[in-house]
Amino acid sequence: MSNVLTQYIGGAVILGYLLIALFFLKFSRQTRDPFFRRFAHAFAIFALGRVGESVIRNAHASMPTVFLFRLIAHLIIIYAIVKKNRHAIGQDQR
Amino acid sequence: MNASLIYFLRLTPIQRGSAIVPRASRSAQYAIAGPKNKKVRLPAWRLGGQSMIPSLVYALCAVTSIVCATLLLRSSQKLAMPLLFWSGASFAALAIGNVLLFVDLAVVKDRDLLLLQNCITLAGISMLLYGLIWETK
Repeated sequence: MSNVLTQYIGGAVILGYLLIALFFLKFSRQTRDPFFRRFAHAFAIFALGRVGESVIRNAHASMPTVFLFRLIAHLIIIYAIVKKNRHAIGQDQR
Repeated sequence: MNASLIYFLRLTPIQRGSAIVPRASRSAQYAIAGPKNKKVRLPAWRLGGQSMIPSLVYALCAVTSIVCATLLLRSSQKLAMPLLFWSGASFAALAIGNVLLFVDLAVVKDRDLLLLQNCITLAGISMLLYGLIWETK
């Protein structure tokens, strides 16, 4: 039962990540701001990583490299925020 | 394929529920590593015959998600944008999930915290979706 619930919630998490990626993609098209585009990419990578984790888990195997997807997505988000902040500071100084 | 690559990409059977068990036993590693169970010299990044890279990846996931949450929450205080606040709250939940991942797979190996992780992550995603749907103009 617990296993089924875990898989069910895992699927909901993947769908949620994809939905968030689509929202950010919509914002990036509306505003042409690379900040939103980077967020969309990061959340798509989160979803991809989650799919990989589920596949590996259901194959009853261990492959820690699949968690690199999460790490890369987090790094993209940090890069996006830092870049946006630098851009804002640059505009303030002008 | 050399021995280090086999260690890194190895697939080992799961012994407890559905959780990923990150490491094979030392004897299993030797069995994979070479013919006739020959002992191999382990690289420096392996302490006690076990790879440190998985633990490092889990720890880095946790650290980067905490950094994301901090940056977003700080920005939301400065700019007073609701979407930034919801993003920060969401990443705080994701950070808790990633810390639990590290604890589950690298510290406490005899308990399965996957369901708790997934619930916390889903709560975080729901917060961000709320922000995206209701707090954007």
